[in-house]
Amino acid sequence: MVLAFIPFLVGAFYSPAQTAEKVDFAEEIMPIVKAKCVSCHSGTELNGGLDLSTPKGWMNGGDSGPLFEPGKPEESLVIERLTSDIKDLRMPQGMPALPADQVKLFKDWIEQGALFNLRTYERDIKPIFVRRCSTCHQGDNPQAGLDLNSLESILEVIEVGDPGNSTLIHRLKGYNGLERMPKGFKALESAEIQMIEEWITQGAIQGKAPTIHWAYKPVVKPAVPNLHSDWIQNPIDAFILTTLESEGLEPSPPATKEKLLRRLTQDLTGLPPTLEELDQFIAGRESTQQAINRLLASPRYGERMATPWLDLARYADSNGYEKDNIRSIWKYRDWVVKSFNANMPYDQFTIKQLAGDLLPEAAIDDLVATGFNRNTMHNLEGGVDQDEAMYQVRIDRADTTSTVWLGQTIGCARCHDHKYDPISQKDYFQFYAFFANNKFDKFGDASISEQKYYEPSVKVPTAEQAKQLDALKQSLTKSEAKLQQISGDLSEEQATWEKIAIDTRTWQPVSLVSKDARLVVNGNQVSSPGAGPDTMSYNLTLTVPKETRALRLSVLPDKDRAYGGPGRADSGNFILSRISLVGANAKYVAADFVQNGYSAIGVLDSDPETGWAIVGAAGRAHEFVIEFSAPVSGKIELGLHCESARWVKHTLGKFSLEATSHQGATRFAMPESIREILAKPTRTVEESSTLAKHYQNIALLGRDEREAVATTKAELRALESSIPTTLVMAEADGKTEAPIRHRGEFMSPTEVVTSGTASAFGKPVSGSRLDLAQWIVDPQNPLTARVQVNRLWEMVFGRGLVETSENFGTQGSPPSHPELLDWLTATYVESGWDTKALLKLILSSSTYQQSSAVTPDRLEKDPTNIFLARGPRFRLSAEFIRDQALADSGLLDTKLGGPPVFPFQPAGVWNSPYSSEQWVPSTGGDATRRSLYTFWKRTAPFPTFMAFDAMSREQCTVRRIRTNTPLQALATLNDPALFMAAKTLGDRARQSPGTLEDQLETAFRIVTSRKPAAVELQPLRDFYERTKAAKGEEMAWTMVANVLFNLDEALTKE
Amino acid sequence: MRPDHMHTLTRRALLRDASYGIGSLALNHILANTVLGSPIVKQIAPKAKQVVFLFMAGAPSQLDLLEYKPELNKRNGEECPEELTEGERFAFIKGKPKLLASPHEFHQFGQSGHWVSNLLPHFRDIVDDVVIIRSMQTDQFNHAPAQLFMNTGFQIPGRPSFGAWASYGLGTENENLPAFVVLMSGESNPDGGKACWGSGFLPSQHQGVEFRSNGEPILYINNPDGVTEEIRRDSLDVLGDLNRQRHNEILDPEIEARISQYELAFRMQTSVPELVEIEKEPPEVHALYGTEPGKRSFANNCLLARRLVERGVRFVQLYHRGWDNHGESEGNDLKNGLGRMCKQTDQPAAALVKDLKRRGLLDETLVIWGGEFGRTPMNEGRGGSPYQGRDHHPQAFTMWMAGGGIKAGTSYGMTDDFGYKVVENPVHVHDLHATILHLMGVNHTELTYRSQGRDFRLTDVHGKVIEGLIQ
Repeated sequence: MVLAFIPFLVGAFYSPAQTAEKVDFAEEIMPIVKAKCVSCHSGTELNGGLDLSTPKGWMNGGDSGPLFEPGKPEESLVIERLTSDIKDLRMPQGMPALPADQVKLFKDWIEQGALFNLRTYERDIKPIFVRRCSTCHQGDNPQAGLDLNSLESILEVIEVGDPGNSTLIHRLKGYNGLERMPKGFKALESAEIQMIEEWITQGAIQGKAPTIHWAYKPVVKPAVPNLHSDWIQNPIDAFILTTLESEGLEPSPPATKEKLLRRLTQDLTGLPPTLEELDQFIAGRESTQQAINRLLASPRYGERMATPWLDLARYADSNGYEKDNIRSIWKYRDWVVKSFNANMPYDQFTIKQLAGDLLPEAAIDDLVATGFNRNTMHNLEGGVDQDEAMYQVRIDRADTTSTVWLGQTIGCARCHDHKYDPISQKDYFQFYAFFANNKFDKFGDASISEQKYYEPSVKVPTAEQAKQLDALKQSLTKSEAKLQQISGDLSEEQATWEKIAIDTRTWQPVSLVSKDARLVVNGNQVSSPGAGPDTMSYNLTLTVPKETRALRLSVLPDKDRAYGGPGRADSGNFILSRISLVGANAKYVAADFVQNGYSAIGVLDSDPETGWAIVGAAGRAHEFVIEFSAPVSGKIELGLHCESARWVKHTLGKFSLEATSHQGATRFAMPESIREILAKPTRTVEESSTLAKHYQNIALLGRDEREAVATTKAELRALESSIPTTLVMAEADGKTEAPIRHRGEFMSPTEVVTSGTASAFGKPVSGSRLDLAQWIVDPQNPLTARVQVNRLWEMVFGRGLVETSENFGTQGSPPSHPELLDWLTATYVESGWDTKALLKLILSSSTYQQSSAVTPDRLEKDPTNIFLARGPRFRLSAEFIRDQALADSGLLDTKLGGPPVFPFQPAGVWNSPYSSEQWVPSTGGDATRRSLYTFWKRTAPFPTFMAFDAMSREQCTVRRIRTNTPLQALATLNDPALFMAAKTLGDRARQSPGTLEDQLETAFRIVTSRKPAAVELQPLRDFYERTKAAKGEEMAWTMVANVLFNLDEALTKE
Repeated sequence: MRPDHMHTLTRRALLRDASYGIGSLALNHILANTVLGSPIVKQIAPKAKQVVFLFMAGAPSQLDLLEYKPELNKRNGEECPEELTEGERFAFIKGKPKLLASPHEFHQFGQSGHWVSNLLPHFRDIVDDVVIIRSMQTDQFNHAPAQLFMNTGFQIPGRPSFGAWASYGLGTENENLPAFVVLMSGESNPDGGKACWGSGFLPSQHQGVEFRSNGEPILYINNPDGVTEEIRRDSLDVLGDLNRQRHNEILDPEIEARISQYELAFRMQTSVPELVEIEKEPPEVHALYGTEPGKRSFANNCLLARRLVERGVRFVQLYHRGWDNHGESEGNDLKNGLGRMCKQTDQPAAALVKDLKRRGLLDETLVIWGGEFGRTPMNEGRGGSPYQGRDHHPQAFTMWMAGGGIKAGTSYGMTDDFGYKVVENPVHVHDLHATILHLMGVNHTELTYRSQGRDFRLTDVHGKVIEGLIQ
């Protein structure tokens, strides 16, 4: 696919206009005014009562009267003032006079009538024709021979200076019996027609094509400046040095080795270097290049790179909005980490996240990657309109995709044509349409209030789990085949069964005893009063009749319990997780009713979460039959265990036990409907057939084979439920199209448009998300690579070459080093979007390796370090502040990936109105994992991260603002988790070899990577002694570490 | 940075730079106490220096509290006229809903003669101090989006909240305390979550600081176990010494800013515990508010709000959730459910107004009361529920304001005979925002912040100041 990314330059070139050129006030006069005049004549500075910033101000004039006389430059005050010989009168006052060619522009403009609203073909008229007429009147063979893309052709249908006599206007208005144009389409807006009329009146001027905004121009790799300096290590330095020289600045000396390694390690891993790594590096046993290579190869690199990407992806572990329930999408987070570690080329990284599901033969990882756009919030509040909720989600997908990859904020255009950037409301909804055909299932009946919807998710097994799955599926196929082969006449068997199945004499009460004081035994009935504990075991000693082949457990309803029992849960439910027997062996089990997702057979395994449960049929008695492998008599021990940790209080309230000597007693546990048929004296044909069908599935013949199938199925279910799921994108069968919505309001759909990209960003593409993704990473796309290169630069230097890294539109800031940006961008694309290579290039430059110390001169000339006459120095982001404290203290657990963890946070932070979900602090290594694994709850994010400017991740964030607040100081001083890290670091220092000074030095060096000066050591030592005297040695060390963790130098990359 | 250079930077230039973010913030922080603590927008004759917003999350029923509708009572049980419900979407009501009279009695009080339901016996005392807005309107009809809309001017989480805008625009009057404080009571936190008092894209120091009812009043304000105030002071002196030494070496102004933030943190550590000690108030005050120190209650928070106002906190917001009286159960109907909420809030809210008034603080403090939307004149009857309840109603609802330059003893706007639609002087949420900002001396169109390529306002591109509410 070759795309022409040349915005606005579509079509032919024009022959020189036959009309006179006129001075354009907005394009030619205003830039001069803005540069030279408005500082004294606008806003609150209205010298001479004159506002020159708007046409209105020009027309109003000032204290000295009108500014100009149309057609008469020599009588116009503005010309007089611009050319006056009197020093105090000549404008701009106290500044050099305007050059003669500029003054001539003013004169010509007045001469030509002083028009403020000059209409030009290129700027004002052509876009109307392109938008409304080009379908028929453009190209090689236009309708009626009229090519509205050619001024020459247009001049044939207008009378210059006289719109009333112009055929074009007649046709647009439908005068004189001529058919109104555009034929068969909506008429042009009257404002548009008026603009065309003004243009004709003013002389049908061609004007200049508007300049293309820098970010929309194709990337052209510039030549590297030819400078000779020892300072230059790679082309980056040549570009930087060129600007430094022109700004009168000099580079700073290189950073010390210890600070350089610290900076490299922080930038590439988000962690500090260890003392051993520092020693190696300082001793010269590792070169800078070797260090960079080592760090790029570290698994910590992927974690570091993923952290800001997760802000872009608005990754979180909860749904957001009112309910904010937990979701499982951490496999996406792990995919990002893995992809950075594998150095996946950025174009692939992009395609997989935007459209992995649409790739031919998409692998499971490609699906996981589409979690990017499943990170949108999910509104499950009662009463929410499903379609409107989906609309908001799709808007977020369109906006975020545009922001992350194109650096374009298109959201404004949802309600109206973009005021600054070339995106119309139609463009917006065409872009939106790429995301409008996703699969989503409405759930719940709209007529019974709470409506919800779901989008797809997939299970992501590990290699080992995938193997087990395969094995189980094969074994299932085999045992099903075996079952198929069994056949025989069941009529005799069934007849016997019918006789005894509902005979009341079939079951005999058993006598039972319990040592458990919580159980009340009455005959063969057991009850367990009250709400009881979260889990419970019922241990009973039974005396069973001779030749007992099976037991029947009847769970009994209880009108005093929720939903009438029989369980003690709020739903009336229970989960019988497991049974244990002494003196008998359970061989088969069966129940009259089983809740979906649970099974009788689940009681035979040791998993507390599988077993027998009955939601959907509470308030009634149910029975569960346990058939033994051999007949028993006399005393046996029976344990019924309700052990689910996930579902608390799912325990039994009241039940009874009976025994039988009949064979195949599991057949006697039957649904209510079968029992009713059996009880009837006569049966219809239909009932007889129902009965026969039922019996086929419980017959003694083929029972073991059936059991084998059921067991395998249960194992398969258990395995599947242990495999994590993750949210993914999928397309529905429909088309990628969507209605434009008036003012962006859901309730006001209008014209339907198909998917497409705005013409301003190059040759438009239509089709699927995959087409969009490929268009985004086409090397010709002027934005994608620039935006990503700029973000990487920003990550390292704290400020992008384009400071507004989130906005490359006309309202964003222009690049500080445009040529360097384009050189890096071209290099990145040429390298095959090799992110590690680009980072290595940046980190290998002298620019990067400068000391970050400031001098008064540098501070004055460049306070915010735009020109990079010094190295980067800025506060670490939230996650790395915590990671670093954990690493320094030795607490950090470096396990890669996995489900989110719950490190300590103060009680009460997590308080959802609707959920019983709790923040249960992780124990063991999970308490001190890297911060990116911390559970991210949107409505109650981790408080210490929030203090340091992390975001709730409700929306995409490109650039976190860095603040410096007292709440941050309180967090790093007093957060119990960080204080614990201080205590651990204190212990570490105390146990290190040497004198007290040596130990203090070690602690200082662990935290800052450098040795303290004597004047720094002294106050620490004195503080240590004072605290030790007051509170003992341990507290003294803890406080020393607490001080060190709070040093500006510790919180800052420098 | 040389001091003379510092002075050549005008505040305007500095703030313009600041709004472009990152690098320039460093400069900003040198002047942290002067710049961040003082207004960045021009204030025009502010009437309200401070705001206390009593946010009744869940949406109280205007028709059972302050909006007396005899016609509705008369036509109790009749089907709601179709011209009213046509084309409307409801959260829960299905089919043809029936009109529902208020089960509560109304009487007139005060010189203003406002009708007040017998659920609000204390409100009667302040009835002449408030303006009742009968014609509030919002765009949202579900809790979370509507709460966000009322608090941030936008229905999706992520925009700066009202208090954050106030903090950003007007700064603080007490540099030992945050400019924007949030207090929580009721069944649970509001549906809209922390985004209701978030700073959105504004710098994070403007987000509402949650004073917690259990444990530390501000997160991490207490020293860790075993760390005395003396040790903390000593440690901050050492820290300051080491940071200053580093500054002499590196000269990065950000280090100086950090030193001053640590000092501010220490001052907060000493001033906040005293502030939250409401138990030290005299018995007469506790009797007035109905406070029970140590509990999570709206009464305690109202008293705390007064103490915050006294200390110059710019914006205090109280959330009390539990007003969502759908009537799907007995405990959540218009008698028991609504009655319980009124018992919890009526006395303290009235006490706050009285207390501010007698201390001479009401003139410059604006007290606002209201929820995220109103409730329907029709019975909801979800799933055939026999209990009386009302569904969500964005078309018309009631709020009141006291003090801070409002026209006390009056009401504004009018609804139809059923209280279904506004028939006179509608006040949209954006208008309310514009009006409150106006009372604070700020032109709502001038309080802007540039983010993602455009200027944002609390009122987005809407909002007009409602002159009829202003003295």
